[in-house]
Amino acid sequence: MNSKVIIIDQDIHLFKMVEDAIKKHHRDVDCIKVSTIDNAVKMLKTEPIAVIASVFNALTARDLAFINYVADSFTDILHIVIGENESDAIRSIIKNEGNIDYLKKPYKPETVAIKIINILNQQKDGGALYNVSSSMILQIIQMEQRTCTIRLLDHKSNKRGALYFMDGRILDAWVAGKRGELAAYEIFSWDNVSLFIQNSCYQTKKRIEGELQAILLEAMRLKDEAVLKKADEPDLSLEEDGILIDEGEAVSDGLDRLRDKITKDQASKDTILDIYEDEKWNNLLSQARTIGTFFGSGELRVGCVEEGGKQDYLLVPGKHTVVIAIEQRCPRDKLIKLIMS
Amino acid sequence: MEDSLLDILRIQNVKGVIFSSLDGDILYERFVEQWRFNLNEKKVWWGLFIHSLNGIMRVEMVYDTDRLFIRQAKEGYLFVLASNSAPMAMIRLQCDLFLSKMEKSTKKGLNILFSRTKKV
Repeated sequence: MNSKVIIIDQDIHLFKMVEDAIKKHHRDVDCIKVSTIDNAVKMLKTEPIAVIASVFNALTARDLAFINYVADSFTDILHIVIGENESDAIRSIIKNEGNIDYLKKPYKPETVAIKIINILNQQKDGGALYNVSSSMILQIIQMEQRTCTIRLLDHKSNKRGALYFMDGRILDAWVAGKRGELAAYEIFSWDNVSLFIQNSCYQTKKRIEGELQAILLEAMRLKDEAVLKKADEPDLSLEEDGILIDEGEAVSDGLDRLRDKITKDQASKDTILDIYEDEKWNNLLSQARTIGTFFGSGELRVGCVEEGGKQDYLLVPGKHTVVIAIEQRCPRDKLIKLIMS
Repeated sequence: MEDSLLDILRIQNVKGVIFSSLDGDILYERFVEQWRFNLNEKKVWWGLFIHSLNGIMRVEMVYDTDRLFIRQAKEGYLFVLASNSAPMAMIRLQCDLFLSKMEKSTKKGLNILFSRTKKV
């Protein structure tokens, strides 16, 4: 993992100091200087950043939003914030998220350089493993009841992730755009990862309620489901060869599965009027997917439409859009949760 | 009127509020992390999205991490982006309050509000 360190500062002095220190101790780490928050955000989204050091004058609302954004959206990145005074707002962010270190001005650039080197050393102090399956090693961590932070890189998707353990209990997980259980499911489905173990965990909040075994099982189930779904998709190469594929069977299978799932729920069963496939919503759902990508909200899972008539509609996107016509009194949030589960 | 939009934005875990005309022009936008989004750059597909709504009164799009609330008003669409952990009922209530206030307002009143924030 070729990590990078970002320095956000107008002054070149701190950057030079940090760059020299990194060259001596971590040849595989690059140091990059950016002058604006916007440029830093662009890099965060594309590069494997390990540490950020930001120098602010008087902290503005925009600066605070950036600090909060990094703390919340990139939990595996350590952020050294250098400012003039420690406000209540920054204290609140530090209290809630453990990946921030605050330094008050005046500061010595040497202190920042040493801090960054220490952080980089810590990030691998528990060792590194290459080309392993995430689920295998994580069970060992639980058995040994370790407190640690694990940073992972999936070789297939090139995605990064992090897992936080306290005494062998999983506290939280992170991958870009996801946190908590959703992130854990994704990480545990990775088969070929490099992982870096840090023998400490700065996270204190427990965002994952379930036990590791239950989460692993659910991740495996979702993975199997995804494989089955992929297998259900028609092979285009066969179509090109003129071999006809009966789409109807696979499609009705997906519809049936959804029907089974939601009609099992007693509370909403009586308020469901019909379940069918309808392509007329495809354009809306396609546009909604674009909007979701733009906002970094993840995949579109369900749409809920009220046209002003007696019935409303839940739209489940897929190869063929499934429409669930519901009465207005239907407990729709509960039903949406069920569909998403 | 702007206060009502800010009231929505102040609800816990609400990320942003947008008001656009029925033609897709963004008349008002405010995000908790303003620098993350620049809707003006995305004007074309935002317009396509509005077009695809095709007069629907209320829509909620649920994503992995967020939920997008969409409400049609007489003069445009209200959009509220919130995290999935936000209080949904409170957001729906505040959206309804905003729409009801808007119904009572004059067109001139609305123009005064949105012309201040409209970006060219």
